[in-house]
Amino acid sequence: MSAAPPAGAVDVHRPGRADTTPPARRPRLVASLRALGYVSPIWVFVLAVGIVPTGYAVWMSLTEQTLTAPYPAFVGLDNYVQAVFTAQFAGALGVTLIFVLAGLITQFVVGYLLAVCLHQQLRGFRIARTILLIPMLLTPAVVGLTWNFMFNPDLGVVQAIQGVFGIHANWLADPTLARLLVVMVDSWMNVPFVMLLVAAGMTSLPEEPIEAAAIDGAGWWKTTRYVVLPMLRPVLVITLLVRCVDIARIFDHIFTTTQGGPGTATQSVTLEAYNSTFQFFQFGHGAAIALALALIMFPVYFLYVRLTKI
Amino acid sequence: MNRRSRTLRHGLTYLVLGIAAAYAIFPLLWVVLTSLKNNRDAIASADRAFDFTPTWSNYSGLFDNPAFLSAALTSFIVTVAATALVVVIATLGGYAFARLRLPGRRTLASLMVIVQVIPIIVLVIPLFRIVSEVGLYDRSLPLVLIMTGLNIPFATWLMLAFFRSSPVEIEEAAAIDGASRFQLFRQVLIPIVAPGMATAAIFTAIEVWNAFLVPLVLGQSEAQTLTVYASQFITYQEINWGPLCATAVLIFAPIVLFVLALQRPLVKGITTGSVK
Repeated sequence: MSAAPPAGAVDVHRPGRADTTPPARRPRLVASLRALGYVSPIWVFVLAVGIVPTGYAVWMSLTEQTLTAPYPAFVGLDNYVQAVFTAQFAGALGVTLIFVLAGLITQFVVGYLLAVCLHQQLRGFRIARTILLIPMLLTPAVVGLTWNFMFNPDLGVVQAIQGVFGIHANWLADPTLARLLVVMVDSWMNVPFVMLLVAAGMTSLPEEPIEAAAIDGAGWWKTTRYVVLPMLRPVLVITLLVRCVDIARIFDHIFTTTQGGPGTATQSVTLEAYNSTFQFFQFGHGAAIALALALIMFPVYFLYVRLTKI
Repeated sequence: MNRRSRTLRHGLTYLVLGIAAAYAIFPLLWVVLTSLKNNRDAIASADRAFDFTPTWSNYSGLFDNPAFLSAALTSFIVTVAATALVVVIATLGGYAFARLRLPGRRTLASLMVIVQVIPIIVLVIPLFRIVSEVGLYDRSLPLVLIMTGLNIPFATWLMLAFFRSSPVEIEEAAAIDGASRFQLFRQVLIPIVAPGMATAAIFTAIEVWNAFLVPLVLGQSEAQTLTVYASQFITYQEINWGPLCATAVLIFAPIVLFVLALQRPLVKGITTGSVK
């Protein structure tokens, strides 16, 4: 999972049924304090690892934060002007957008197709499911390394295979092919994720509407288009958002395949922020770039929170 | 539906699943194959891929290499420690979300989702500064704590779902019988949600084991994890593909074993945690 874990889309607001504390004996306050005690470690970790660093990042993005300036000075929006409102950031954003769109289309078309195949539940389908489950749980950074090896222009297996057809493309040196490679690696890992969620969604659908459509003489496509897809919508939307959030912050396997190259052809926003910070030690720039990505993604997060009823 | 179109449909289904499975497994087989080659065979042209004498030298080389052993130990310690912390914290939290009147429930839930969706790079840049300031750069402890924090939300939602799906009546009966809170937890609830805890543990362990950006920034030598160790094979000079593939195989192996042994809870965990 690649991938960041799929987020929990459970309704946390349904009031807890049956608090086993007998209400007559214990005052409400004590019960509330006890409940807070149970979640206090979560509060500590969420604040320490999520909220405080985010606040600190905002401050870093508003100050001069280089190795040569030990006492950071407030510089307003300078970092944003120098690092975000630039052609380079626009390029990284565009590349990231390409990865998101191409990745989502590939993963949903192929994932849906495979889910349909799995859903037939023909003999032996579990073997296929087990094999397909493996890529989605493997280490993205190391998966990148293995694909880097397979696509190596001198000795990779892909070179040999395409050589049979008289093609001698160098995937790591051609901008378009390098981007295609990134999408392929991401899809290799995440088509199974989409497949699994869609297949689970299909299993929980009621049979009657589908049978009724069949009796009315609807073919496979019409049944899918007008009956199955509308019923699957909640599952599809959540899966889409999870994948969208995940691809938008893509980093691990790019770092170990193309490293953003050739040139900046595959430099995603996260990679650009990483390079600014840890290659060029422009901490203010890196923080500004990273926060810009988070801001741009905000509508998606908002939708996500709304749909998961949190 | 007549028999011929049925046969055709089954044939197509098997064909598609077969191609997909082959595509999914091929890179792994290729890496395993290369990991068994000596340096000369590993860089030989791919049309001589099967023309070699298998050797364990890449693996034995790794096990003689202190840097690899240290990285393996770090990965193992960080994974075990973070997983243990996450499972305990998420079980308590999932219980509170599912069963108790919890003040600030909405606020906490929203903050947890922020941790889940925010680009990790936003957190990692300031965390690098903070960790360096307190003198913990290149140590395992901050890795454990940060990976714990990042994985608490998903595990908590998972535990919440498991508590929800377990009947309340058993707890009520135990409470009426005068069980203390501790007894209730220890003897009634834990056994009921044990499968959930196992699922949360597996997912957390895989996530921590796979983590790359956080350890890349926070642990370059002493606290180097296996993923960071593996990434350093890619240099502008010659790349040693044999040892690299052996390292990849050793990183993948525990995950593949988990999948083969535990696919049912894994499938349930992915679908429960994501779409419910």
